[in-house]
Amino acid sequence: MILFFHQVRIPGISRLMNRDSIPDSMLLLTGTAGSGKSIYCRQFFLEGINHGDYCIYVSSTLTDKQYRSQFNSISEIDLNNNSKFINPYYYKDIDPSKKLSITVDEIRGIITEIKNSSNKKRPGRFDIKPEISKNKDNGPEGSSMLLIVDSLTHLLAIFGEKAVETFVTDIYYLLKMFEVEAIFTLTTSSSNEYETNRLSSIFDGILEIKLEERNQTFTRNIRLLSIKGLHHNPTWIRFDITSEGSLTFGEHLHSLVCYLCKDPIFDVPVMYSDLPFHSSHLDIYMKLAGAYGFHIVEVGLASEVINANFFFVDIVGLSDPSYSVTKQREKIENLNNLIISCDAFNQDDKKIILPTGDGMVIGFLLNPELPIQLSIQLHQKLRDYNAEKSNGDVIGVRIGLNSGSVFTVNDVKNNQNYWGPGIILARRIMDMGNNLHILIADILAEALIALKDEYKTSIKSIGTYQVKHGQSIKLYSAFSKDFGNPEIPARKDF
Amino acid sequence: MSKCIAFHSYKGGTGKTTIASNFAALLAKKGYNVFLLDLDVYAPSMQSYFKKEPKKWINDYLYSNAELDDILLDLTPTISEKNYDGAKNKNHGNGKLWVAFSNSKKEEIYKLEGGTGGGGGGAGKQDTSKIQLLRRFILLREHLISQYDADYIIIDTSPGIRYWSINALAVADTLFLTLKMGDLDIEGTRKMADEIYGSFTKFGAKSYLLLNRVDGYCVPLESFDTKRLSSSASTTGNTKAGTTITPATTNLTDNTHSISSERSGLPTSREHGYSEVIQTLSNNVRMNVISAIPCYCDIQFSRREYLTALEHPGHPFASKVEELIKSMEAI
Repeated sequence: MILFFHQVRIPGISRLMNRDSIPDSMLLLTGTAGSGKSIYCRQFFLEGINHGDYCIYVSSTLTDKQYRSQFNSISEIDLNNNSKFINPYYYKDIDPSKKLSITVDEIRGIITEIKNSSNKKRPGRFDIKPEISKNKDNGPEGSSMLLIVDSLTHLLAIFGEKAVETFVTDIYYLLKMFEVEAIFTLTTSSSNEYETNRLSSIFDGILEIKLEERNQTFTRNIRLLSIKGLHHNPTWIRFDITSEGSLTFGEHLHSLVCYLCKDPIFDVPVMYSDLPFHSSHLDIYMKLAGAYGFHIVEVGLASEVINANFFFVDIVGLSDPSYSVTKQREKIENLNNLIISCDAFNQDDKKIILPTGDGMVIGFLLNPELPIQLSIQLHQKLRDYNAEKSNGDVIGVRIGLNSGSVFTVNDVKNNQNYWGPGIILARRIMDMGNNLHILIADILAEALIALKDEYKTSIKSIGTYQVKHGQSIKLYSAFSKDFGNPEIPARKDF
Repeated sequence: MSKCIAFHSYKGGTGKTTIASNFAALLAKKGYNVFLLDLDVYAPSMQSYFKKEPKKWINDYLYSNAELDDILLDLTPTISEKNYDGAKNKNHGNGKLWVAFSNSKKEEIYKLEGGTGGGGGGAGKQDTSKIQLLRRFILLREHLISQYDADYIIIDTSPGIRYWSINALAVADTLFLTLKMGDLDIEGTRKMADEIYGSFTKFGAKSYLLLNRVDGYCVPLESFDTKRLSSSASTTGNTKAGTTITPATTNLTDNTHSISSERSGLPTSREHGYSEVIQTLSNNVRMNVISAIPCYCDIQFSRREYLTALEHPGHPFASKVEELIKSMEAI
């Protein structure tokens, strides 16, 4: 049988890279303990044997009997003729420090012998014992040589880091000379990252297995993280281990996707609020979140910017624990009814209405007068309403007005919602006030004063206030004998 | 290391496009690989400076109807074309100037504003197509850096707080907030900086005030002696009927600046009383002034748009743009 030194398959390669084979490579297979590295190697071995490859299996954890036992599906003759098991620990009468170099020598001897027997018949090709060829589906034309070292972790424990590095390096150059496909396994843990990094630099590529447990069910995924000389997008592929110990590969799993750009993340992701980002995209996301409001983390990016004139109102003292829930609800409903009955509310103006629990925010999109008009009308209606009520039923309100931008976003139910600096500042202004205060941001107050003389007498500057996050705002208060609160609101610490 | 610079303003007419276009052209002349993007999507005008018609627009790219190659115009020859006086501009090094324009057709503007045409959401739902456009815009920047090896990406943004101006500012790492010397502009700039700039600077962007038209110089174009006036970054003098005129210069220090003027009977910012206003604005918005560019009547009242820095390299405006480049390079 003629064996060629050329491209070799690794299990699942068609899923991992969307191609049938890769050039001869020495790959490092990493994963946590129990992730399935040895079973993957077993599959690599079985597929190789089945394809007519000659396989060398190096392991310091198996005895010869255990080795034969795990490949009992292969006849004893085929196993003897087409594979070689080496346990470096079992070399007798050898200085332990030299056992790995002896292993390299033995591997070199096997490969050379096969190469020489191949050259006798057809230069440049292997000739392996003819018994094998009769078992092969694909015939001898695609055959090669495989090397499995399972595992480096155990070798490291026995022989030490320096000896194993030398071993891996020697094998690397040996395999390059003879074009042999190889997989070495290494168990990864948080304590051996340094060793993993050092060793991985010697290999042509890295295969990575991850084992996850969800609802007491284990899932295994594998990806070809990198491979020298080939560009590809590493993608996690799910695989299962059948009861017979063979592997079945599933569909592509999405690798981590950047929350901002929605493209897969192939390098190390940056996490924020459990969301993955490309490292270069987190800053952009944070800038957008800062501008559009941080709840875009839950609802997604804003899609629209709207300028509106905001009326923000809440009921003073509604959270008083002496009020029953029924009483609180009554007050909210009555306030809503009073607002709805105001002419300014019913003006033909596009508006945004958002309930806030103990009040509401209304954004008038066109007419900047409507927030102040609504405030005045509401105060007049409240005066009449409260005149007939006992102390416990009186509704006190505070109002904040502002003009500014808001952004269209989706809420958690995928309904359209609004958020942004226009609403945020209106709320903060309202928070500065007490009962009956109608406080107005300078941008809106000054526009109103410039608009009509009546506002010049009713809207008064009350100075600069500091609101949350050190933001300073020049405030105005609207009042007369019929509405508003002429008292200067107390400055609050934030 | 690529740098992405956005020219923004509170309102239109501050000279963003003029400065951005000249800025990009001079950067390319200095040997950089420069990409100038017209993101003033609601009122694009950059095309009038270059007088070239693209086959595809930024709009097409955002809607995935074009690739980057389709929308980028290689206008490198522009920076080497002959001057009005027959002198040849020098393109130092291997600088390249690429420009992508926004489509000014009203239906294209409506489409971008409304986010339609990309399979967006229905009534009452968020228009997700706009988010797709934003993602495409982020991809554009990524590809200019990774595939086109951009040294500089210059973005001419829409003024004010609008969807596309915020998006443009978010992807940039340096922001030039351009304003004219007028109460409305100054006050609007202050409010806008308060509202949104903090979010950008908090996460790594550097922002600066860029003062435009700080002084007036009604100087006939012919009086600029392009042979004697170098376009170096030093303070420029120009000659008019034997009188030496030195435009206002801006001294920049950390969060402090002053506008001083060695002048010959010309009004200055100080005289207009704007110096203190600008100082206060700078302190309030915590932005330094990167440059102060005087108003030049020949540019202001020209009936056509052109790249002054290329056509008249001796013009003091060109010197000011070079000063701006030097200041930017020092950031």
